[in-house]
Amino acid sequence: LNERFRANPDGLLAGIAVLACALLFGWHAWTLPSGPAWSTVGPGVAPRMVTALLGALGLVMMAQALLRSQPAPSRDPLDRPAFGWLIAGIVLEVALIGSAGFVLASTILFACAARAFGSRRPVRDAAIGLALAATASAVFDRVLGYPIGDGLIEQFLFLPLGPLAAGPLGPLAR
Amino acid sequence: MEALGPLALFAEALGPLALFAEALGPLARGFALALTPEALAWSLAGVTVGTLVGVLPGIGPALTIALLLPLTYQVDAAYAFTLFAGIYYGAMYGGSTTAILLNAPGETASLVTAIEGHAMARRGRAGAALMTAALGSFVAGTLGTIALTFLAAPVVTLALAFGPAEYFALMVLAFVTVSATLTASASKGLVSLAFGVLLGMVGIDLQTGQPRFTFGVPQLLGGIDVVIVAVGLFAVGETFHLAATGARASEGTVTAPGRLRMTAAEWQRSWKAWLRGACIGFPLGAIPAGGSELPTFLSYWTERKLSRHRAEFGNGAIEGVAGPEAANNAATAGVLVPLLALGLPTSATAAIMLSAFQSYGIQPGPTLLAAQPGLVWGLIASLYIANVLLLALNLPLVGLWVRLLAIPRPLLQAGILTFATLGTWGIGRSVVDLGLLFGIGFVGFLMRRFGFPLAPVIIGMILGPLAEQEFRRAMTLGHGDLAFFLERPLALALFAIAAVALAGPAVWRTLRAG
Repeated sequence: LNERFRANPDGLLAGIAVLACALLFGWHAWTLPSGPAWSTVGPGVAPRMVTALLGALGLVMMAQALLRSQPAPSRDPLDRPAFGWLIAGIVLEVALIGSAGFVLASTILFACAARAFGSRRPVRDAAIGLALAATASAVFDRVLGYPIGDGLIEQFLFLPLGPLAAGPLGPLAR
Repeated sequence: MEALGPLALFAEALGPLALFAEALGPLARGFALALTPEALAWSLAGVTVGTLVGVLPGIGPALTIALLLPLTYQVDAAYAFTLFAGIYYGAMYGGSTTAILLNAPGETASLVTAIEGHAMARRGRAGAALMTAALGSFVAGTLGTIALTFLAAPVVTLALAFGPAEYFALMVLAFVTVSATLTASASKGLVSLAFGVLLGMVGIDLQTGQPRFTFGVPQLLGGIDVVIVAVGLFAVGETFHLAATGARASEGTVTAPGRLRMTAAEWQRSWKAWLRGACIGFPLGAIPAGGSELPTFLSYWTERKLSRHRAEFGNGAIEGVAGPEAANNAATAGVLVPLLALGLPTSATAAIMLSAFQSYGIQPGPTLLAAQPGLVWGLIASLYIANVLLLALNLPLVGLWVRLLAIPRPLLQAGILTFATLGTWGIGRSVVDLGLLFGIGFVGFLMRRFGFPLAPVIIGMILGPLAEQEFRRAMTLGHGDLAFFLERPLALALFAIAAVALAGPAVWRTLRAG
């Protein structure tokens, strides 16, 4: 068994992850109350059925991984630096979007993501990211009527235009 | 007695004369709606965006329609669905262009096209490959839409006899076929499905007011928006995957499309493949088999068996492009039959379209055709129009689409992330939503890496709560006794088919091995 696991740890790891997920959701599902008397099927019934299925599937996958010798899937090695740049961009985006606003946070994410995919021109990337984020969010805010918020850049960019009662889509709006 | 009812109704509706009269009148009214300048403009926008996302690697119709769901709060339902229909069809056309010229299928439905299509391009016949793909898509897409036109009403007639028990059984069958029957691993497909169903349950249970799976986060009480899950899995997850595997700059050289012309022999070899592809694609799309990969593979296999030029397969046989391209477009039309007539989505894109219906307060299903005839027939008419627009636009503009492929990978992927963030932030300016987006994206990355299919997550998320609702209705009718399901022959038959679909492939493999 040990050799099989070493040859192909994926199946067992995936099975364990699925089982852990089933236990987490299942623990919650089994604590749900049975619901008011008039409801024939309470709120916990379906969650229990689904988490039980998930748990069974996790066990099946673990058994399959241990009992059946499967060839290890050919998988590309993880490109750690690229992955790191992407994670950094995402963390900065989530951390900054509330205070700095969508446009600025997304410009940073754009530059980090471009770096993750091998670009070596951060200034150009940031400029393109800024233009894209500003244009797209202006369309969302002004045309579609989705307030993007009053971030640092938004304040100067399109909020001064004032509220548009009905955007260019006005005649088509419901 | 009750089991005979639907069959008798079905036979009556199948009378060809009744069918023509029943379908053509409303279809004409649908065209009257779909041919207005506004509707045409939305259709044009849809096919253009659809072709664009079909051409660009890593973005598909499900993701695009999910990102455009906010439009449903602004735009009339008829126009929104005209736009979505254009995107759905357009993506199928666009995917073939990259498959042929770059050997990089934009969509999974174009995987097979790349085999013969790119081989043709290397032999200098790229123009002919593009042309047979576009014409085949048009022919099969139109045939599929015609079949949809005439099938929708009879299927609705059949479905009106369904009670909650039958509906629940039908949904279970769809769950099994989309997740277990046609995927590499039944257990992995079912895990994806169960994960999706659990995501769909997050929030307040509408029947009892009980919060479920919110884990103490108040922002989750309203449930998770399907936009976040679709964009997380398909855009963020894909970006993680590409970054992790070190996908760099563009993946090869684009072959010049050359002159768009087919020789007489190529015409001769193409048209039968188109028709066969349409005949394979539509039924496989219409039964809840999910996805358009299977029809393309089946069509390719058929063409290779039937061709008198079998030696050319692998080196650019035109039938190998014509058949699968026709099959995937016909399957796209087929998927709309269960969606519009039964409210049953069998692909990720169809599931997103169902949630678009829901955001208009419309529940697709047998009553949709009666309640919203203008919307349904306008949508079907817009499919015919989208096909014509795509044929008129795609071939002349192929040079433009090719130039899109010159966008460097870093900028393309960073741009996709920007739109993913904007689409999520725009829903409610919530950092919790954004965290969910990237969290689900990371789960999507792990799922891809470990070989779990993604489409069942979306289907489970949309269809799961509906299945629970039907289950509860059936149990209430049966006074809480599971035996209620056993007393309904139609429901039992559907459960039996589901059991066969679940166990069948494994049993077959064992028999063949032993």
